[in-house]
Amino acid sequence: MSKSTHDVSNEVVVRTIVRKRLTLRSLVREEKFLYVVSLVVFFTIWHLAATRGNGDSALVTPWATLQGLYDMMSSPLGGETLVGHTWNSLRRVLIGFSIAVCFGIPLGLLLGISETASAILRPLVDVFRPMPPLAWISLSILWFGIGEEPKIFIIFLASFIPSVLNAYNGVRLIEPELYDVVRVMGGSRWDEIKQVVVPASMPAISAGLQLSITSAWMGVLAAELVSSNSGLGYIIILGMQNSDPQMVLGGMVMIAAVAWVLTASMEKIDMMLCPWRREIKGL
Amino acid sequence: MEQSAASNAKIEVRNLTKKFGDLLVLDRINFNIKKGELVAIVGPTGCGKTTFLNCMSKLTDTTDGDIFIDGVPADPVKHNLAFVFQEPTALPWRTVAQNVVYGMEVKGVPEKERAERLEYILNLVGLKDTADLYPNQVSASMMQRIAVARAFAVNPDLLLMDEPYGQLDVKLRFYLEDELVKLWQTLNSTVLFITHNIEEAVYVAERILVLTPKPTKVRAEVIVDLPRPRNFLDPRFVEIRRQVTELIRWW
Amino acid sequence: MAYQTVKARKSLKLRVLPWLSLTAVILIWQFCVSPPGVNDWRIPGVLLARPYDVLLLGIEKLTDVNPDGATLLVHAWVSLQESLSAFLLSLLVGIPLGLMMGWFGVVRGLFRPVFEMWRPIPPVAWIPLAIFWFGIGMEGKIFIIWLGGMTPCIINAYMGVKTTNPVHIQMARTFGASDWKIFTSICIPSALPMVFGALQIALGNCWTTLVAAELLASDQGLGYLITAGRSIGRTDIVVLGMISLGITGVIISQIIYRIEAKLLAGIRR
Repeated sequence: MSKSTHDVSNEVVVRTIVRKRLTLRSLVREEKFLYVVSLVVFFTIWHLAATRGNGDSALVTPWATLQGLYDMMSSPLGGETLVGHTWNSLRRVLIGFSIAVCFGIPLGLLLGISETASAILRPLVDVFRPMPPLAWISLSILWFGIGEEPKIFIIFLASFIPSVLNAYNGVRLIEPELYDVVRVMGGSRWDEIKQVVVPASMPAISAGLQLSITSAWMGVLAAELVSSNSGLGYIIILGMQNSDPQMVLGGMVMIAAVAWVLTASMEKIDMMLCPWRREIKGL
Repeated sequence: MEQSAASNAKIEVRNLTKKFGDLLVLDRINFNIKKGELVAIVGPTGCGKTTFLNCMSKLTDTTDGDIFIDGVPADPVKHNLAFVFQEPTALPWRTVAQNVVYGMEVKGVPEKERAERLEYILNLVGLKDTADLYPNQVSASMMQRIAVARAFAVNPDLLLMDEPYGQLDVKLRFYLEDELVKLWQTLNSTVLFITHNIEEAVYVAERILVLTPKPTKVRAEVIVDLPRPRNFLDPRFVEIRRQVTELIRWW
Repeated sequence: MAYQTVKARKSLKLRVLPWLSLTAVILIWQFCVSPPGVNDWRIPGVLLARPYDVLLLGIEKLTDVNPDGATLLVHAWVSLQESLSAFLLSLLVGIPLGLMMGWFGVVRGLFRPVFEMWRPIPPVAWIPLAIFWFGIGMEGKIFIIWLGGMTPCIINAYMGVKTTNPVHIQMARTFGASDWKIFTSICIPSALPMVFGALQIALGNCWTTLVAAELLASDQGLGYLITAGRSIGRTDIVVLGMISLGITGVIISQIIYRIEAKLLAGIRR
């Protein structure tokens, strides 16, 4: 029997979990058990699907994927090991993302604060918004060639729009009463911005960062798929060209891992930026 | 309590005990409710009232003891239990009439009988004119009437009411209390009414059970044998109210 | 309760400025790019096309299949077919799955680990595998776009069920309602607004993924038009493709928005 106690306002909430006897029914209700079942079933199906096609199948077993991952870590591909390729992709994302955030958030705040700025710049944002950032890949290759710049440009575009829009919406949705608090105390316009606008729009800005990083990661992969000679996108396209599913799947595992790390670090940053926010438990 | 004495009891609560870990919340509560009785339960804040109700409605398991309806252990699937919560519980995507029908729908009341009872109950609580409106178009008191109507509509063996009028203002409360008494008299239901408002308890109930602070027990039972309609200024009313207030004070 | 909508009249300046700024940008764009065949101090035509030339090309491409093999409308139609069928598929699979994951512990337990493993992989990363499995036909692209639309559907449906008012569930329980009855009569209706919120996000995702899928493997579609334009060095075709993508995207998202508003009005007045 385990017990946990915590306070909600002034009432003590007691949660108790009474250990139940192990029966088939209680086992099926136990989520952890189901997780194990789920993973076992998933990997079994994957394994069976991969072994069924007597060698020419476009899928390799989970174990072979891991082996491929290990091989790519130790022996270089196109001049670099998998770690090097991962770092290449990650570096591009971090550069493009940082530039986008540095310009995007102030721009979004400006649009929210100043009606004039909003009147001038919003139409431009609205015109560019519906165009998927990946559609710029061709132009960016024409403009910048095939070096680092076109990729960083695509990442910048992919993360710029969410940063701007979320900062803008964050400011617009501030409750007017919050401004009154500052005004009543005789604060200036600058005080309002410092004390109300920036902190109150922080949750929205932080949500924008999460969207931006996801979209930046997708952007870098797409750009690398189209034209590149390094990076994780390059690895999987190379695997495709060599008809080597081991390489493709290994690359995908790495892509998922990096994406997971990026999301997790954004969540950490979110906690630092707005510690006052209630945690909403979700997926 | 003897089995023979309990034979005319509709609801029988025996040694109801609830522990959260080693924290004793309900300590062997025993009482009976006769068929067609309106019993009020009053107690100080934080006396485990919610836990008590959750046990009564079988939302949580009891640690010991049980609740019998007609001598059979209570079960929300078998018995007709109904619950009126303090918070408004009208489903926003259903019209007033559809909301009132909901309980009968869950109970699987046949289509024809459902329509008849709906008609009857809507007339009784005066929701006839607003039957096709959505809950966000009606007032807060209407919302609570929807919940009350929905509960009475299933002809419950036991109707549990958890401070149903706690969030309403005084005038509406008086009005709805009268309506509740009328519904209860007309439909001859068995009602367990929980409140922290002593005046309200004395006004509606035939019998009042006073609870102690945690661990909760039944401290006393007060019979309210006043004629209806009751008058708040009746000296006997005032006397009973004072008596209950005395019982509730633990300081 | 009806709120009176007060439309504050915007000042003249605020109403004129947006149009001024748009016009200015288009004019600057027009004059800072060299006309085709001219080489001067301006941005050369191999890097960017003038808006006027793009407009002319757009009109011409309505009927002309050269040089990329299909008219503009055919390209748009192919893209629409791919993205909309993938979008519908993702709704059909994602929403029921998300709803069930929100309410039934067994479904959640069985699908969650796989979902968590699959979710961080951007749909773009599936392109090589999709080409292995399906070739470069329409199925492969629909598969990739479908993956892009699934995530918001599952998450929103799941969150919608999770944020159901617990009192409503308790109320149904005290009436003795079964789990299935609670799911259909309480959880699903209360999750609907959030599910509708997923439509726009899913559509946006599908449209973005479409571009990636078509950039890599296709012989028709707006994304292909862009790639083809680049490979023959015609920036006007590239820009035309981009603008058509933007406009088509806006049109379908407006249509979805209208449908959504209608449906939402149907369940909650």
